[in-house]
Formats: sequence, C-alpha cells, structure tokens
Amino acid sequence: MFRQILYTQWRWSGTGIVAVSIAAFVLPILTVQEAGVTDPTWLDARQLLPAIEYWSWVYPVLALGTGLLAATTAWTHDHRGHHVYALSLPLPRWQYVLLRYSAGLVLLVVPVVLLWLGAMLAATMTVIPPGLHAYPHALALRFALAVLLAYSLLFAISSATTRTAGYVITVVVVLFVLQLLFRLAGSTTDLVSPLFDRLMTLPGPFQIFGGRWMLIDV
Amino acid sequence: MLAVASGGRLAAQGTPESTAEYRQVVDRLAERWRRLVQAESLPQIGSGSEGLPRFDTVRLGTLTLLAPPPRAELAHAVARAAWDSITRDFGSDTVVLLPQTVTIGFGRGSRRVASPEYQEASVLASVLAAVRSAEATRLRPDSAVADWFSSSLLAMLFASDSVQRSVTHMELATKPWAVVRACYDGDLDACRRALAIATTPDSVAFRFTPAERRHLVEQAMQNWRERPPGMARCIDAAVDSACIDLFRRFPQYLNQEPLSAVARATLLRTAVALGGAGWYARLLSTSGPDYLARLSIVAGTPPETLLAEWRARIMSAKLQRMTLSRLSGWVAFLWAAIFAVAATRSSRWRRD
Repeated sequence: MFRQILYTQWRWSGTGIVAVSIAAFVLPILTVQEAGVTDPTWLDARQLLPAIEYWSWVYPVLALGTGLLAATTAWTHDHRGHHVYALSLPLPRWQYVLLRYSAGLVLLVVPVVLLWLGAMLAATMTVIPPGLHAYPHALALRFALAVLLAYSLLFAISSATTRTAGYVITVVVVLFVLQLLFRLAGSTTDLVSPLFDRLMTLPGPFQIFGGRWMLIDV
Repeated sequence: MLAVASGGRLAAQGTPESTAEYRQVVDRLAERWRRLVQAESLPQIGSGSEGLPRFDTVRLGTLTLLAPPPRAELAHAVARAAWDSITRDFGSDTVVLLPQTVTIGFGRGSRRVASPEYQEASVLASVLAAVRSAEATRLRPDSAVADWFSSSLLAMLFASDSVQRSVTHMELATKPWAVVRACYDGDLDACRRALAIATTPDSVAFRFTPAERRHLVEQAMQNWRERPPGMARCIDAAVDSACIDLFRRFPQYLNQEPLSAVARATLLRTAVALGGAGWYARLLSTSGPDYLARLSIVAGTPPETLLAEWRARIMSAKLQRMTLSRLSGWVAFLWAAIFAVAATRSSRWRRD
C-alpha cells in the first residue's frame, strides 16, 4: 500500500521535487561564489560574511517552498476526487493520512540530501579565511528540520477541509487588516510583532526558520 | 528640536597657559553661548500665531529641557531616559563629565507629533553630542590622545556593553591581521598592538607583518595616478623598509588600526569596571601618550592585568554563529510531530 501511495505522490510532485532538489544543490555553491573572486589569502573574513549572509534568506524560503510543494501535491488529487478514493480503502483515516505523510517525507529526503551534498562540495571548493568555519552539516540539518516543519504544518492544513484552511487564512488576514487599521488610526498598538516574535523564538513553532543560515560563519 | 551643547568651542581670546585656564575660558564661552541661545533662538522654536511661546523647564541632573507645556510630561520622560543612560555609563562621574547645563528645547514642530521613542532618541543623541563636545574640550590640551579616548568614549556611550563585546569578539575571530589572530589565541602583547595602544615611535611596524604592510600599500595605492616613490620597491621588490617609509609619509591612507574604536571602547569599559567610581576624574588627571598606562591608572591595576581582564571579558561574550542547538532541533521536531498528529485527526467526511 505504501509503495503505491509513494508512487502516486511521486507522479504528482516528481517534477517539482526535482526542481527544488536542483535548487537545493546549487544554492550552497552560489552562496560561496564570492569567496572565489577575492584573493583568499587576504580576504577579510568580515567582508566574506556579508556575502554569505546575502544568500542566507534563500535557505528558509526554499525550505518553506519545498514543504509547501510536497504538502499540497499530496492532497490535490484527493480534494479533486472529493476523497472518494480514501473512503474506498479498507483503512482507518489516521492510517491513510500517515501513509500520505510518510510518502511525502520520503520524497523530501531527495532535496535535503542534495543540499547537504551541495554544501559539502561548496565548503570543499572554498578557501576559508582564518577565523571562519564551514557548517555544511549544521546547515543541512537545519534545512531538513525546516522542511519537515513546513511540510507538517502545511500537510495538516491541506488534509483538513477547505473550510478549515479558509478559517486559518482568514485569521491571518484579519490580523493584518486590524494592524493596518490601527496604524491608519494613528494608534501605536502592535498586534503582529509580538505574535511574530512568539512564533519565531523558542519555543515557538517557527524558530527554526530564524537565526543564522550561514554555510560559512565564525 | 534644538540641541545646544555647551562648552563646544574655544574662541581666540589669547592662549591659555594651563588646563585650568582652558576650563575657565570654556566655561565663560559656554555661559555666553547659553545666554545667546536663550535670548535669541528659543522664542523662534514655537513660532506661530499665538505670539511668544511659553516653555516649561524640566531639570534633571545637569540636563535642562525646555518644552511647550503640552510636551512637558514627555520632556520629563525623555530627560529621565537620557539621564539614566548617561549615569548608567558614567555613574558618579556624570557631574565631572557634564559640569555645564545642557539646554535642549522641544520645538512645537509640525502638527504631527513624533513618537516618544523618536523624541527620546533625538534628545539622547543631543545629550551624547554634548557629552562628546564637553569631553573633547577637556581632552583638548591632551591632543595626542584626544582622538583615541574621544572615539572610545563615544563608542562606549552609544551601545550596550554586551553588544560591543560581541562585536569585538567577532573582530578578534575574523580580522585577517596576524596581530589580531595572535591576540585571539591569547598573546596579550599582540592585543596591545591590535588595540593600537602600543607606545613606540614607529607603532606601525608593530601592528602589521611585512607581508600585511605590502598588502595594505597595494590596496591603498594601486589606483593612484602617480605611483609614489618607493611603491615599486615595496610591492614588486618586497623591500619592507620601503613599505614602512610609505606608511610614515602617507599615514592618512595607510596607518589603520587592526581593531576598531568599538574594541577600544570595550577596553575603556573594562578599565572603568575595574576602577569603579571616580574613573573619569582619574583619566583627566593622567597625561602622556601611553594610553595603556593611563587606562591602568583608571583601572587601578597593572597594564597586563587590565589587558588580561579585557580579553577574558571579550572571549566570554556570546558570538552569534551558525549553530543548531539540541533544544532548537527537538522543539522543531516536536512541533512537526504535533502538526502531523493534527493531520491524522482530520475528518474523512467532507462537507466543503
């Protein structure tokens, strides 16, 4: 059963997975391209760090995009078929969901491993100035966790009814609209920032997306 | 907003002979300046159709803020914040540092009232400018070290201790100069040179290695239209004496310090922390180009102890780096598991 579900999910999302996997492999190499331009013997580490930092925002975005791709494609056909296929199977709902979830996870191993390989390759290619170190393993692990988190969250939302997903989106939109109205009214009330801070710092769910995404760092 | 920092300039009224005379001249000029400002400038602050504006006076320590009555409460809050910031760093020496009144006027400005945070930051900046001005004036007779201390003091005032220590730690860890690397590894003499407090006739020779000097000359002069004499010998023939000669002739282009003013501010902070109350008066009581010896007097410790303490404080500062803590990893994993479990709770029956 798992193999069939894995196969169908691969058919649905294979192209996208290949695309994000290539991006994941290339990204670390793009990150260190600046290191090859300047004479590495005299490269001031503090000049290299901003160049590395310039790319750091792409990693969490790629992780989010990868999770989004795998999560939505896992459920697209079920939604289209009004979930008749799931009902026709002799499986409890939770088991069917876990099969879908696991199949998606297996597919996500590909971009994660490719990012890890790309990071190791980039670290090997680069002459790193004194005082700095390459962190290919930590970066790949952070990417893996971010992908896992994004995938799990979006998978949960996608597995629910359209109405539930609508509620989630509505709450977010209402929050931003309220914030905008407060600002237009000249109020200094800030709804979004404290909430954002809670979500993005430990033990918030999205803290893994924050912090430093640096292939080369002190 | 008008900020008037008293004690800013010395007029040409004859050359004072001693520091005390300098101070008298400065105090006199500051007083005249303050009167001029109060007599001429302040009525223009709140210019409008209501005639001459009224101002409430808010006094805190040596700060005096003049604000239109509706802003008096805000001015008081701002004065409190600014005063706290100054006294936090200078403690009992605040009075020594700011012996004259700093007058700051709150203009009515446009109809849009700036946020309290903005007002507070503006006043704080004005006060800090006044501090710098007063402090630079005091150190003027000591011009050999005025820049060193002045920039350090200013840097010390503008950021928190922990931030500055982190920045300095980052510098120690990442600057390419050999002397900085050696300091990072624990060589205190290298730290002395990296902080540019080595007192030698030719301190440049001690700050950089011959190869580094060559590199600096190449970086600074490669785009010059006319190559100065000696540049070819320095770069092409790698004659170090030619490089040193260029450093002496063009110090404004070449004589850089391995570590920044922020790093020096942390050294000053360390001396202040060790020395405690009365540090600024002690600093003013010292003289001479030996910065480290003067800071040792401020700290009340031998120079080596001061440097060792400084390095220990820097190395203990938290350095932001690409790490993934175990807790962070487990929390992310836990949240992923929660979301996955939530997905299994979804209904198989659709009522979309």
